[in-house]
Amino acid sequence: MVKWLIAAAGLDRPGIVAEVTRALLDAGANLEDTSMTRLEDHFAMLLIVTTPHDLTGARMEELLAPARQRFALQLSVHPVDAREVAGPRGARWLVTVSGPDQTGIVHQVTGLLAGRAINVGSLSSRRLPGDDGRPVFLMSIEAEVPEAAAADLAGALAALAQREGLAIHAEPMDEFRL
Amino acid sequence: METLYAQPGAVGLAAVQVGQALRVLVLDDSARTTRDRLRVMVNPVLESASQWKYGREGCLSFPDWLVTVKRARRVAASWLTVEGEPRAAELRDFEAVIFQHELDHLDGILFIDRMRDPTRDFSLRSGPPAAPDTP
Repeated sequence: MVKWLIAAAGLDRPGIVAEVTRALLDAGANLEDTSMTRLEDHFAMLLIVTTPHDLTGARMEELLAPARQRFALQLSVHPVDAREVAGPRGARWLVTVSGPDQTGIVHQVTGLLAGRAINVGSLSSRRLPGDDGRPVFLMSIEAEVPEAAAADLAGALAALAQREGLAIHAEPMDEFRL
Repeated sequence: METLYAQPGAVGLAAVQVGQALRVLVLDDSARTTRDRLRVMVNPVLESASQWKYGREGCLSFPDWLVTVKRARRVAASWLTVEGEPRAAELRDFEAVIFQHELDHLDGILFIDRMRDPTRDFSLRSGPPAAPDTP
């Protein structure tokens, strides 16, 4: 069994997912974790799939070629290590950020997290028109916070928020045993 | 109460979970068996709720499931005692979450019904499944 990471993106139109997954089905692939979403006018797909181990990268590309051509997709196909899925590295936190759109917000926030060995499990962001015509940037992060990093995280993010003119809300997601 | 204290670490139980069609719940946020924190509520009512936060919950009826649910961390609750005396209290944090979870059971609502997105908000205590066998 071989595990693959497939990335595909193109102008959004009906049928992209259906065509790409038809090719994967023909390849004998089983879809595992996937994330597919529209980003402005584009549709982006990220998929982890497993296939029988005699399937070559060249054959995979060949099977995906009709979908790539029909939808003018940017496509990449890479085999990846089929390791055991790692559990979360620390307590789950939710971090939400909002503020006037400017370059560097994602880097500033994730740089602060990375400096504390905090792993980002998911991140999504949107840019919205603001009331006064200035675009607003919104970001939501689910992070895995090691115990040693938890104590000063809220304070460090508050300082960053103050410095950069952002609103940042960060809190651990409680786990209840009911 | 016997079922609650027979489950190590259990903190709440609704009558419908043990086959009784009654609006009764028991909760004890200590997860111990000393019964200092035991509340037995007949006809419980959620009067008001505030300070909503996401948290991950398990459920005695689904031992391997963990679900991310938004719950109020402050609730005003009222109920009757077993003797029919009216009671009211502000419940906080863990106790407030237990109350809402058990009250949902009485209304036929499970924690999975409060999930926004199963691909993001659902997980198993035992971890993800092994990959299927492919030839």
